[in-house]
Amino acid sequence: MQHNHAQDEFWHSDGWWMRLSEGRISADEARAWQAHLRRCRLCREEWRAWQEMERLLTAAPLPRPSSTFVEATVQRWSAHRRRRRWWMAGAILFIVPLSAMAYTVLMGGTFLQAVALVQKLWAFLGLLVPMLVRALVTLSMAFGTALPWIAATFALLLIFVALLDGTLLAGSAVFMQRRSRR
Amino acid sequence: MDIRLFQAAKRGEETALEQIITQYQRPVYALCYRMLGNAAEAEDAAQEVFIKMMTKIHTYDPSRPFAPWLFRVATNHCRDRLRRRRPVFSLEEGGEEGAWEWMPGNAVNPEAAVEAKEEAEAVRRLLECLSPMDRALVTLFYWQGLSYAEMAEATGLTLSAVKSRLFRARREMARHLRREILQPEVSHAAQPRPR
Repeated sequence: MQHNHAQDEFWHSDGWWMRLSEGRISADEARAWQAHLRRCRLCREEWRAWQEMERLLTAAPLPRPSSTFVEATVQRWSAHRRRRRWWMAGAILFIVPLSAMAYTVLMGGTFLQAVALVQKLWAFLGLLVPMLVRALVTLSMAFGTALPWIAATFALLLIFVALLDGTLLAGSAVFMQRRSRR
Repeated sequence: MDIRLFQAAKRGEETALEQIITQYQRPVYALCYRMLGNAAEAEDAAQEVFIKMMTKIHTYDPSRPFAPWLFRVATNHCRDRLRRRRPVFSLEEGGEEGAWEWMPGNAVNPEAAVEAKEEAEAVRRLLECLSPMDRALVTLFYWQGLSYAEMAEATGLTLSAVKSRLFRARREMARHLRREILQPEVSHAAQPRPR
């Protein structure tokens, strides 16, 4: 009786069911399992449900997408790329003058000098844009899709350092002015 | 994946994308469909998967098989979509024209069509009782025919986690089936006959 109880525990264990589901059982085990199924209603029902589930899932067909799927996806990709290019161009237009100003401030220049530098750059826009495009093409070939992130990180770092530098300068100027008034 | 096709995809060429979609549209769509349970949403999600694939193609190692990597992109995308849904979600939103329901040409007579529809409904109910990750594992196992190692690569789980989770998911579905479908028959049969 005790032997039967221990055996039942074996048939009800996860380990056995896992092996059974993967088909990793010997012929002797299969015979013993069939004998157990004849006397255990719980396992019989569960095994029947398991087999029915297997039948349902393996018989279910692989669904198909619509006939326009390829065309629609390619169109979506083109639109996505166009949108991404516009964003990149916008980001460059925003980041380049800001980086130039940050660089000027870092080199010890004033805000007005930075504005003057941007104005000078603006005057040479016709010359600068093709140069910038060529540089970007070369860099994008070297860095691939990581380029926008590298450029953005570099520019933001520069701007952050310059802002910090500018804030410290402004703060110390205000402090010195107040002290001289006293 | 062919190295030329990979390079072309890396450059974002549309012809490369077209080739990849033609080859993988059905398994990717099927995965999305089984995970989301809605034909329209699955189509939208599958398109997004291919776009995501193109933007992330630089992270793919061409010396490894492409399908598990693509399935990983698809699985993560579908899980994100499911997470963004309201807490209580149902696969039932698919409507009548869902792709796992009867499709013309699959069945030759109305009885077979009704039977196919009922079976599709049963499959939907089975998948609905699983978590998104388990649903992905079941889909990859039954409909994509992936090995345990490939499933681990496609889901980011360890090999042992894939084995145990898949087993638990299958047992959960079997128990669900026993409760929902087989049990009523048993209890009905056990009832005393009316005099």
